[in-house]
Amino acid sequence: MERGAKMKETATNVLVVGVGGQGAVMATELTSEVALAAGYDVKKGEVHGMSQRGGIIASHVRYGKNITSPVIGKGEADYILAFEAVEALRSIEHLRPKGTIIVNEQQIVPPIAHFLKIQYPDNVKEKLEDGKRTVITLNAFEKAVEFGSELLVNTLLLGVLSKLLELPEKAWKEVLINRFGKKMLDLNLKAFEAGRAMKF
Amino acid sequence: MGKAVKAKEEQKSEGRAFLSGNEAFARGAYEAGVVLASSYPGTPASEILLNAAQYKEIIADWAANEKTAFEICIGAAMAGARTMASMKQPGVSVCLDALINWSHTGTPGGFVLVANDDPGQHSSQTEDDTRMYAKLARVPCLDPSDSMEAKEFVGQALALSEKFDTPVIVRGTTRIAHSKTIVDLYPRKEYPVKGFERNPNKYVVVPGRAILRETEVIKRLAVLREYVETSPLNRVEWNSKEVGIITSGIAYYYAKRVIPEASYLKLGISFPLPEKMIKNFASKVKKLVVIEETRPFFEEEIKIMGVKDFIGMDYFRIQGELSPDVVREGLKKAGIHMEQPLPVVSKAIDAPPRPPVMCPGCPHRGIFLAFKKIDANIYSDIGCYTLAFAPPISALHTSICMGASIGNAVGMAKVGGSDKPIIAAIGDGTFVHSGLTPLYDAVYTQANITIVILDNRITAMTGGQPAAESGFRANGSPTVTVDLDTLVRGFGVKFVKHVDPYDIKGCIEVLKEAIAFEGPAVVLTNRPCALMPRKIKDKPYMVVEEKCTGCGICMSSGCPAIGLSDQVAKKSKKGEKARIIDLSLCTGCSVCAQLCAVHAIQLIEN
Repeated sequence: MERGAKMKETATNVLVVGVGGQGAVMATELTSEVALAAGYDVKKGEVHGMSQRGGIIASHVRYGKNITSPVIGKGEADYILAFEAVEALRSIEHLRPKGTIIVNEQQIVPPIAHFLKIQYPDNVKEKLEDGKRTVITLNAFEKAVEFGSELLVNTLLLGVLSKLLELPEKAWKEVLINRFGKKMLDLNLKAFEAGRAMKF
Repeated sequence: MGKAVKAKEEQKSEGRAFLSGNEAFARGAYEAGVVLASSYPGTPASEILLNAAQYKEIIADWAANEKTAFEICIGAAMAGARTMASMKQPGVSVCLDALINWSHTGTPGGFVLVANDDPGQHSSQTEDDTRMYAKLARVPCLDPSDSMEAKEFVGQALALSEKFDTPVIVRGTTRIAHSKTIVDLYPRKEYPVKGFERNPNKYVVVPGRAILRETEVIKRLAVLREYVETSPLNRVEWNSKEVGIITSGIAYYYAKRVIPEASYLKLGISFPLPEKMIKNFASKVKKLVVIEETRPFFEEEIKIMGVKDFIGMDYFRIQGELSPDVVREGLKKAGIHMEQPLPVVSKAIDAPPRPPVMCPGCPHRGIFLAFKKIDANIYSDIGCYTLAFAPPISALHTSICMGASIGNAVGMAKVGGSDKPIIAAIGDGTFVHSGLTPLYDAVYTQANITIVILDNRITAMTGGQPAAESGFRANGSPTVTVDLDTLVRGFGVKFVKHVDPYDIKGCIEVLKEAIAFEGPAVVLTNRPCALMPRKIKDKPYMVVEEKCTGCGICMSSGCPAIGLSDQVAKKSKKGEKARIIDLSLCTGCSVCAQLCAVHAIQLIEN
């Protein structure tokens, strides 16, 4: 940035939420790499520490010509990718009007819910619909198992997200090739393609 | 970027990387020729040493605690080596004695302390502000706003340290530490270790000489106050003069996000402050705003300068982290016009809470359930096991600060303040950090308490950093293992027994013996962390459908592997749902099976 210049941002804001261990951080990591490869300024971040113990994770990526804050505010996310249904509900204030939320319908019931006798919410899709935003739901866990491993949830969901983001497909593929070892690469590329090809 | 960064352009860049603030602090140490780094793990600072240990040029180790880390760094700096201590903000409290004295002596080798504050208390007990320690110790404090500055400011701090004969603090925050931004990389510059030169007038802090050092500190601060007026680390960005914002750190970018049209005084040095620069800036803008994390530090300093008419912390928040939302809200409240439209926020939707829990197979679960059964008062400490305070385990009654458990138990026993048995429960890492000294007190005064050392052989809560109980060092190389049994016997503890923390009954028996013993008794648990260094995955347990009554006692273990079935339990009396175990999560620890009165939880043999 030039010193003294007024910074006007033109940013794409992607928020990825889930439960610790599901791969939300990896998803923003890969998205960042693709945006970097495409020549954008990128900032990403999340708070970690307790999330490993089954807590909440919310990871932010912002890319564009000139990025200031690494944090996405309320009403500012263009896209939310929710790895878990309850976390989709929790994140919704961050979605801008007419934004898109992709929800993995996989349910991870917080252990405390049984103790507090709280029901896991049902009809998550209906709760999220408001007639303005786009709500995409899929059970990525079941699909990933069909493809051969529950470890593929992440790339499958990234496939869905990648179709919406204006980032080059080639860069996505290159980032995946760099990231995964020979053993898992083919399966991950397949899962990514499948996510990209899904119609909603 | 500021001039500080631009000056580097003469050097040949080694390319760019996308680094977190903590990775960047470590890279900064590497590039600036740091020879030794020391730290104690603590979120949000742990990754600094972890990454420093990846460079073969840096001797990087975890120390017993932040004070020993700092003192090890002092030793290296006395030899003229460039050194970096790193820690979370409460760690600075632990090493404060060393910091203040080292400020008085001054340092021949560049000395940087990277301290990360945790506004919002994401993983800290308190929400304090390292800048106040910088003022107390009268040492400069630098405040980076992104990873590039995090890296560069380490080098700047080392240069200032050598120039002004002072340790220098670089203060990060959780967002700086854990956010990734683009960083330009430069090659390492070597600074040879000069070797120790005797200078008792400088390095022996006895009263007659220390008073002379005090004079030096006062002189140094005056020189620093002049320096900061022209330092390229502080800079003004003139835009509209309607609003002028004084800020630092991540707050600078939050403000830039919501009001880019304002003028800025971006403080790269948050102590001491450039008084002339601030007054000049204040006089040229219509409305002055001060935006900072965490305490109203600039605010108070600026008021002392006599500048009183500004919009300060009251408009933004009283506690907690800043964010673009908080900054926008505060500016709105202050009646400041922002060119950008306000975002439209949709209605929130209720979602059940998801607090962190002990992992499946956690060795702390069984022993805390044993504590609960014997109904002892548990004076505890800081680590994963602190999670036992929460339901459903609810078997931990105090946790004050690192190592407090044993001292707290001693004091409670002395005044006869507990009608229940007194147990101090402390992890191995915390015991080594600052539990050894109160153990001395327990032995010396023969306090009638039981001390349980939860020895999982790793610093687990902060991500699995090794300690002397682990048998390996920060870079993964093997080392000796400190034997805690021998250690406590050496202190003179006469009752020392080991228990399997997965065995609730066995724990209860030994705990009862220990409680009956006159004088301090030590019980050591013997299971490693379920996650680190090796993920434990033994044969899982399952619920036998025919036997489950749906009573839910298994869930009082708080294990995330146990869930509710869709089916009513076959032996249920009131229509309760059966319980099921997620086989992919179950590690086979058997704790839930021990709780089940009807033996409905059984090991899957094949």
